[in-house]
Amino acid sequence: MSFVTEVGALLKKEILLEWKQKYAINGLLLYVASMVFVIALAFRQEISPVAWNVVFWIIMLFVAINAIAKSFMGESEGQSLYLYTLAGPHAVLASKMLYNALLMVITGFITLFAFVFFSPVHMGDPWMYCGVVLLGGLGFAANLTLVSAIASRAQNKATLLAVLSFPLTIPMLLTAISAGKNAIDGLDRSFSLDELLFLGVFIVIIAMVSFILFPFLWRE
Amino acid sequence: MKKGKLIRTAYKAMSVLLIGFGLIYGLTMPIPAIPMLGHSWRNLLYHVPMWYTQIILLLVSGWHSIQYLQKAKPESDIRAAQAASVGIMFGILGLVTGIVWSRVTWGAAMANDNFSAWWAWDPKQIFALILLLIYLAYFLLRDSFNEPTQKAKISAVYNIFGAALIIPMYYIIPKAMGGLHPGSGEEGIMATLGNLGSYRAIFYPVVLGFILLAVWIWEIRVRFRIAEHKILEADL
Repeated sequence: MSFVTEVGALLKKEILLEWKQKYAINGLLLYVASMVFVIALAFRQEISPVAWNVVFWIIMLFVAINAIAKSFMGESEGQSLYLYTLAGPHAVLASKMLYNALLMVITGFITLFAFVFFSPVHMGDPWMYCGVVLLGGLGFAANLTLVSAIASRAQNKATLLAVLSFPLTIPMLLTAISAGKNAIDGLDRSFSLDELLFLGVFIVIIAMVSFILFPFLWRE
Repeated sequence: MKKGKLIRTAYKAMSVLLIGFGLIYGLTMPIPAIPMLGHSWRNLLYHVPMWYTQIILLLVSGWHSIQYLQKAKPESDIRAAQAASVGIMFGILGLVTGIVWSRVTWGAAMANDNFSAWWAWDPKQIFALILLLIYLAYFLLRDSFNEPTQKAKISAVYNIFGAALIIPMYYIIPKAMGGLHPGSGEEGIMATLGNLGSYRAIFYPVVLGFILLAVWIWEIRVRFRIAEHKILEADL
């Protein structure tokens, strides 16, 4: 099997599995809805655009940690052992990363719509903001997939994933917040070019490092 | 064998001499008062070397983690972990000396400005705290495994992943905010002290002294852990 068909098959498996056991994706959606609702309820109409943007990205951070936590912890040991006899480490990582990217982009937009629905904010450049959400979702997926693989091997998985990922997501979170602020203020897109470029380069670097490191990790 | 011992004694002696010299001469020598900082910039000799030392130790730690993944020697894992732990120690010292310094210099102004008087939101300060968080998480990760080879391998992967993320962080955080440090990273601290050339001749030896001290502490801890490792293996 070539690399691409391997990744394709694994990705299909992830999506089918998700579709079959709906509790995972439904749980995530409910998590997003309740979190957004509670925050909107707490702020009511008093939220400023700057705070709105920051709160949105903090919600994204928590949603990402919750969503991506499952990517390696959801499988039983027997399942992953069987899987690893069938496919190489790079195909496994690529499929997980692509699946997480898909999941994060979709839940990112759902979070965005829910948050706009409950507490509307005037956006100067909505399309740009959508672009930042897209890149941010990809960034979370790239950043957290390997961390989730690391944490899934340990005993206190949930705490460990949060503690390991908070400091490591800071660069992309700060960049996404500042690009998002530019979009809300409706600044000319050329002002955000640096941020978007950084996010893109960051995703590529992190993905590359993950691909180098994952083969050392996957059978542990 | 004899030559190795000589070197080991020499670097320890040099570390004591250089730091002792820095402590005594740095505190007693006459220095000009710089605007705003006054004489508080004597702290340069104690604050800045912490930063150099921490970065060097964390690099050493990352290098030994790479070694571990390649050759799987338990010694590399011990070296990596101990370098990180001494790095954390120097990081805390760097933060504390920095906070004391900024408190003395800007404390009153910051309190009036509705800012925390102890935390200045300076990029280098934030960066130092993030490094601290990453490496404290590294030790939490190490404590979460019972099986030694699994622990060594997975923590080595995290160490390298963390080190790879530090580089983009170093570019993005200073961009996101202005700072209290001189030159804002462009000219570096020495440009500010350009006309105080004689101080430079004291500063670099003291930096070297602290780095040697850190290597000394690291060596002791590594030897202790290796002995402990051998005893545990013999027991099994």
